[in-house]
Amino acid sequence: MSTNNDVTVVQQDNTAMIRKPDPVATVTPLADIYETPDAYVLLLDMPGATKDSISITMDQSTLVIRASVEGYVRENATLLFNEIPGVGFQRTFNLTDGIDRDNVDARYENGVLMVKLLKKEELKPREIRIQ
Amino acid sequence: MLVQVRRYPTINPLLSEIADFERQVAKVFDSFLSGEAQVSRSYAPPMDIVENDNETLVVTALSGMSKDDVKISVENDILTISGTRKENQLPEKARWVRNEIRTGQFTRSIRLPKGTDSGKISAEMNDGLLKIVLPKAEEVKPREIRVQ
Repeated sequence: MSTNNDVTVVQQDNTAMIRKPDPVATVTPLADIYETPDAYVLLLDMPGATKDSISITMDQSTLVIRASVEGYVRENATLLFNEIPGVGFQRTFNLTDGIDRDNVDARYENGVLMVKLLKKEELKPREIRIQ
Repeated sequence: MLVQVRRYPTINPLLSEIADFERQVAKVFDSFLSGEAQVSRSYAPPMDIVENDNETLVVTALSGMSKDDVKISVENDILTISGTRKENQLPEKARWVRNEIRTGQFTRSIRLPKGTDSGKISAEMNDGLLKIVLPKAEEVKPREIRVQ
């Protein structure tokens, strides 16, 4: 794992939180993450997730993203071929102190969730001009 | 650090048949493209096929694409879904921390089920899922025959 990152990724299988009864089979959404001078931007692939089902929760050290997919296998229907896994998504990211927890922006479009985590003011790079 | 992607077992022997068919299609395309440097990445978006009495539903997970990025065609009873997923753009002064999402060109093909009314195929795309409805022609729909 790289160092000096404010966002790291944990395997969800190790987290205690999934011990809670959860009838929904979830998969770990793939993510692209980039860092800008003042923020971290997470892009998560969650095809089929409904906007209203997406939950983003944050505590001191983690960011948890969950979503569910509306089923399309109706009654009296047969699933002939199945590659799309699960009916929901869940992924946990570890956060360090550098993230401003009160300043999180999220947007969902075309099956991709974008979460923007702003860095705390004091950690943003500053340019110091020579007088 | 490895990213765990859960793979679910497919429930139907159709899998190998579809995979074989796609390989054949890919071979034909490759023969056209041979000699040309193929630098672009490609991938196969996952697909579900659901059937009921009236129709067959083909669902393809195509997140990160709008309907303009996707092409659907039917030729000789072969339904082909193709397109290109663009890479997420990195803004100026930014750097990648992780890069897991696969992008590039894709092509998936299936043979239309027997008795598909190919004139009435419809498609919609929402939240990164492409849903193609293949209606069944009247003569292949199951009928109940009452005993007189």
